[in-house]
Amino acid sequence: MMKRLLSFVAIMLCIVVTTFAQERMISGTVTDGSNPLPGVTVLVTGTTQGTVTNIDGQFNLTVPANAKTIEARFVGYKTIVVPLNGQTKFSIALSEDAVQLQEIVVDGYSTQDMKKMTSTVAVVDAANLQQRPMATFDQALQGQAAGVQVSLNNKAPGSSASVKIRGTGSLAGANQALFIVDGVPVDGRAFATLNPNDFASIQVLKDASAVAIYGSRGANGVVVITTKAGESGKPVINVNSYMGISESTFKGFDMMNSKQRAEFEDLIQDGPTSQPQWYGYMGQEPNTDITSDWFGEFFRQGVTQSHQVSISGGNENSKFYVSGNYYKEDGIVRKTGMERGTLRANLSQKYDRFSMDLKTSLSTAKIDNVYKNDAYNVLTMLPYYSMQDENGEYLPLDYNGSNPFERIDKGELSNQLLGIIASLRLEYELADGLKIWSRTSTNYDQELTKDIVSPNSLYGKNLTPDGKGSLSTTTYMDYRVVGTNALQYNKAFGDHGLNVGVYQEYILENGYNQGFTAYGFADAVTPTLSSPDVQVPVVRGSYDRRQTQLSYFTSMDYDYLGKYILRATYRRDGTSKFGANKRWGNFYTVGAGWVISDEAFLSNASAIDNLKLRASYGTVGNQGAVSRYGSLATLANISYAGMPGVYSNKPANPDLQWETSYQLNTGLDFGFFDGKLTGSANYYNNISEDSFIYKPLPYTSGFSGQTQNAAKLQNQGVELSLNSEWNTVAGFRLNLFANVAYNKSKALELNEEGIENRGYGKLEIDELVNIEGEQLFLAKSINKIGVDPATGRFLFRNEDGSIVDDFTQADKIILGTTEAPWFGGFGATAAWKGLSLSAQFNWEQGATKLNWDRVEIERVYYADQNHSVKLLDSWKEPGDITAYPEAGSFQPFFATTDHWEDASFLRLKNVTLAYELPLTWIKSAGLSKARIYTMAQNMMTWTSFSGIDPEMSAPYQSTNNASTSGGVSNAYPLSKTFTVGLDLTF
Amino acid sequence: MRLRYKTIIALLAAAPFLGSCEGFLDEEPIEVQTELSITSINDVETVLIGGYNSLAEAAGDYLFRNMEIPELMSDNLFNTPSTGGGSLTEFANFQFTVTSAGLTATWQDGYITINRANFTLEQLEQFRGEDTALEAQIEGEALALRAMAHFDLLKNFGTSLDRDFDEAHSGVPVILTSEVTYPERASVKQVYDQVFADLDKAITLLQGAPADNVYRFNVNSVRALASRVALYAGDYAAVVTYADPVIKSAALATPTDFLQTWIANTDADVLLKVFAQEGTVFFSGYFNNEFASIKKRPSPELFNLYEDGDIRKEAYISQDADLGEIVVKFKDDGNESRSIEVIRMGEIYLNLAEAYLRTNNSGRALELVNALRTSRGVAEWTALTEATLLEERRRELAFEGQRFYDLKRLGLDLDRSAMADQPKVEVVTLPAGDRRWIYPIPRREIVVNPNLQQSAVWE
Repeated sequence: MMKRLLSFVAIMLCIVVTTFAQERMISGTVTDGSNPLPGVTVLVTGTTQGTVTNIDGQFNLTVPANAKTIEARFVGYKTIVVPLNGQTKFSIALSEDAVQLQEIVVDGYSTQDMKKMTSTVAVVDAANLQQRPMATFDQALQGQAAGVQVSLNNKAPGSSASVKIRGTGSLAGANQALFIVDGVPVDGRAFATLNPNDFASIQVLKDASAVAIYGSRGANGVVVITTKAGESGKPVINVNSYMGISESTFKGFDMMNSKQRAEFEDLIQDGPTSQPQWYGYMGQEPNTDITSDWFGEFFRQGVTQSHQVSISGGNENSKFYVSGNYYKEDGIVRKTGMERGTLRANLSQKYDRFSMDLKTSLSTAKIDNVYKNDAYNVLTMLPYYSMQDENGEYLPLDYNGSNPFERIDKGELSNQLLGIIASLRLEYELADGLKIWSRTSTNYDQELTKDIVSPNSLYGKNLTPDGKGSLSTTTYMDYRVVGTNALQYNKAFGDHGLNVGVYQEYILENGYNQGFTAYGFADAVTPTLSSPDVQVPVVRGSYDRRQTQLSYFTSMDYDYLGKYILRATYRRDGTSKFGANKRWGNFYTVGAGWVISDEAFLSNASAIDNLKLRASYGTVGNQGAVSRYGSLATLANISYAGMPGVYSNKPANPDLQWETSYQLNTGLDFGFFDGKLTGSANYYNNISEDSFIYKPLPYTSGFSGQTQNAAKLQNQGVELSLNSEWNTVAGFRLNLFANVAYNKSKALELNEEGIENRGYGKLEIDELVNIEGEQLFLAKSINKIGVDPATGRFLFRNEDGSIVDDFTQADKIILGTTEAPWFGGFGATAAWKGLSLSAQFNWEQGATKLNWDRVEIERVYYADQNHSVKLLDSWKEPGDITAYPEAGSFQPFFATTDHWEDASFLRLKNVTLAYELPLTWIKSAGLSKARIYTMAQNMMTWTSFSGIDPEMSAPYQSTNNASTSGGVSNAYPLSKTFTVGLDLTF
Repeated sequence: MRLRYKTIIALLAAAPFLGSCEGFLDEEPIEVQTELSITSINDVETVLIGGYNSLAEAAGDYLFRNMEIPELMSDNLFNTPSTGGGSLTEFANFQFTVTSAGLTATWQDGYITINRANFTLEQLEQFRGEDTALEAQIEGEALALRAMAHFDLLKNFGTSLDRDFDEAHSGVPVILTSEVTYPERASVKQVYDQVFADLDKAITLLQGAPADNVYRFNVNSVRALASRVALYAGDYAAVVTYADPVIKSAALATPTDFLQTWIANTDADVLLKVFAQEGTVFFSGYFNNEFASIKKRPSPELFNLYEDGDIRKEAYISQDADLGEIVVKFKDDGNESRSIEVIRMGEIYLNLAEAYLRTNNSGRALELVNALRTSRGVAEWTALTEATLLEERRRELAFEGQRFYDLKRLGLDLDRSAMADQPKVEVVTLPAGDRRWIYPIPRREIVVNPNLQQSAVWE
């Protein structure tokens, strides 16, 4: 036995030795510096002889005797060449390649090498959006890319943000960037149904060179999101879970307690006018021995959790990525929250020259909200009332004799969403570099809104017909189909590179909604339609949602030696929405780039890795503000002397068309010191022509006005983004990033009078204005300078310097813009071994915003709401020096200068501490990666704005309801969230 | 295998191209009514009715703009202390300016009616030949509506009422299309030319059209309107041409029926009415609205003009316990809104009589005035002068918005000394030629339309 074994060994050795004569065996481990990297290609340089590292990052390779070097290649890492020098054991550490990571840019139609681009595109690391405790991904874009301003007005779970790229290009409010997910446009409503953990890449296209390919829809910039695809290899299972708690960042206003309030009421009663409006008896007797904590009743601690499982894998030809996610957030306001489930399956198949990609996702979500009408009034509710009696019965609290808490607790205000996004792409390679593909993408959104008033609530009894509650519901169904056909040719001819595409596309949108309000629900706790005696008085709905678009476009990229770059695109769009005279529009762009660092004269400048100068100019359209059939004269029905009649209530506008933006961009991309400093600087000048504005018509036309393509705006700005990467030998890694943008928007042409009054909602018509030649959206207000110690009346300074004490005689002065011209983000990540700590900030500077809450709680207009404790300092007798006038005196019912506050802020958006367990610890559990982390979201905000939150796109904010237009009413405060999560890969 | 791929490629390439025909972009609304919803001549008739409705909407209130305001600017009527502030006082005391809302609305309302008439005429074109009788009727009515609105604008904003006054920019813009334009003012003559052309064509088209609906124009009411225009223009021969066929084919009311017209809202003596929409508070009981406690009082001078037994005194004026004489003409009869008489037979007799009197046919003039007086229950006259005829006109047409323009067209002074002691009457006399006899062009309109010129007297 032993003998046989020995002889076997001898033979084996012999073979090995023989082999060694021509080839030899080497082995080794590839790591990223700390952890092993599986799937790394290890090749003998100059040959195709190679292998791939296993799960432990190990490889074995037979190399020819004459081989001098091997190389290790892995996507996202710098390729490393290792000399063999007769060694047989190798330990190879790859370093991440920041440049390579961003190499490929996707604009939704083609891919481009970043180095050969003339466009301004910001690549947002999808990882920054993931694992964040946020119901909608758009908020996470904040501070991530220069010139991208993300403001969430209402911070309720499931709300979508305003995402504005490079300023305000439309006065008609259509400034939202176009979001494309796997080829199909999605709008805000669908955001709540998207699971950011499935995103592979997010690219923000900012200038004409990048967005002109989107033609009439691209002027506000485009955010292109591509979802994950599988990678070949053994299936990888990823499990990610986090849980956390949240609380309101807004801590309420300093309101009077019951004793103070009682004292203050005496002051009001003694006041000089009858101005404070009392709604009278609330239905319960004041009890000044208690002070109800309405804030505490309304807000609560929220709980957020998310659980995601994904499996991906495949082989050379078939790849898959499937995932499931469950997200639940109990909001910081009583009863609010969101619950979402998503499923995704992305499959790709290749056969010979044919390939197919199918991406599908299905998502359902339910968002619970609270009644808009009176919910937030709780913050100004009087402190000496109680919510419930000793038996737990709700007591009347407002002038309707109802109780907002009861309405919330017993009723429902919800949206149930169903979203499907599916995209099928078929591709065939006709010849080397020449391919044809066709993609059909669809997006289906369904929303069911419910508003239930319980018949057993005070509100139901007092304010619904017959006192039997109500159920109001509307179902929306909208879908969109985008079909694209492309012929693309990408080939290098010696020193010349060519990338040409020809495309045809159609977009079809359709949808309808219908709903009803039913009454009469007997004594059911929750109204259902099967209740006896239910009445369904009015069914409402709309079917007019169809619109179509047809487009033909082309793009051409050319480079010589990879350093002289030209790009041109042209797109022709026709849409059903526009007037007969303007149905088709043409959009184009031209761009050029020069990679200076590739020039011979810089070849010795080793400090310069990359230096590229870019410039582009082009036209892009914005059709966001055009309504369907907006170009047609519409008719209204009347009856005259018993005869049916119609009349035209809106004139036709056959010239109705998109707003056109002429965009100029120049930029410099740079990389210095071997990746230690990279960045990009851009200057842009965008002129929006044919911008929508309500234009007064001569009355001789029979109409008073019409929305026309008549205004001209300018957005001019600079953007700078910097990234700095430091790796030390000891495995310590530091990354710093910062981006800053300055945008100046200006009204170039408005109307005949050169001034457009924009105030509505809480604002007087002339409190928000656009003036030709000035920055957009200026706040105006009467200039309050204090309280006259002699009379106890407010004093106002007029433009001519005179001082008046009658606010109706006071001039309004311009206070500045309500849109922040400066904004940005910055942050840092420090990592050592498996431990990493990162912090990310975002900020805005230079806007003035109205804190409407202060107007309400610091004036006595409605006397049946509680007021700020500051009013206890109201003027009482001649000689009193105070900021508040005599209680009960006639006071402005709109804002004064001091209510407009500087809304600049700096926010610590996210802090993450993570630890990735060493592989040796987890290997036995079958894991290839295990990461635990803790995150603090919105931990700190520094601002002098005294309202709920300085972040908003609207000019004012209020916790209260009343008028919902023009500003942020019922503002839901921002949550501060702490989570703990676990991320496992098998 | 290769072949199959080619098939797939061909199919996938073809499928999205299915939408590539131009028709793909033609999306028509399903629920929203647009100009595309007008698909027959009967639909065009509803468009015409929409035009009439412009006279009755809250925004286009014919009575307010063309009857009440001019009446308050005359020597017939004044506001009681408790009612009639704001816009009414502004007009009654000639305080209107280029920014007065009431004045701007008068301008706007006139052109709304013109726009709708033009829209009707344009829509009619595509259904020519479908029903020639209905076609002629719709066209005739739309032209008459357009003529009436142009004339009402001219009488307020024109710098002259002279038929042949041809100074540039002296009239108002003549609008003959529903498209948005930035017009200049036409001359007074040009406006008249258009108004007469429209009326003449309407008369031709409406021969034989139904005349049973007092809320729509028919051949008689168009002739009646034309006689008014001709009278204002000082073209007395034309007055005869237009008015004579009217009195030959329609009768004056009996005194009993005449009273019923005012107290029971019947249609004796009436050629054209404007329908009062339900719920338009303004329209009902302008001069005397019990619901809104609106009361207006006649000038004592006017009141004293009525002889005993004059049925018009009973029909128009009543006694109020607190105030004394108050106007009850157009009185709101309670819940229902009251439609308003815009053209009546009495006026046609007077138009014709005046034309004869001024063309030296005082005999025929006297006959006509006596016929009218008989039907109003007062004694016939034996002689007629221009002054007595004007008095009779004032009696007959009191509160109908004619008096101010009668003074204006004849170049007479306004003298309100008989009601000078009333608290709301600040302007007692307005001499002929004062610029306040004409309205300035609203400032807003000149800002929006740079082609429009302000009247020289208002510069």
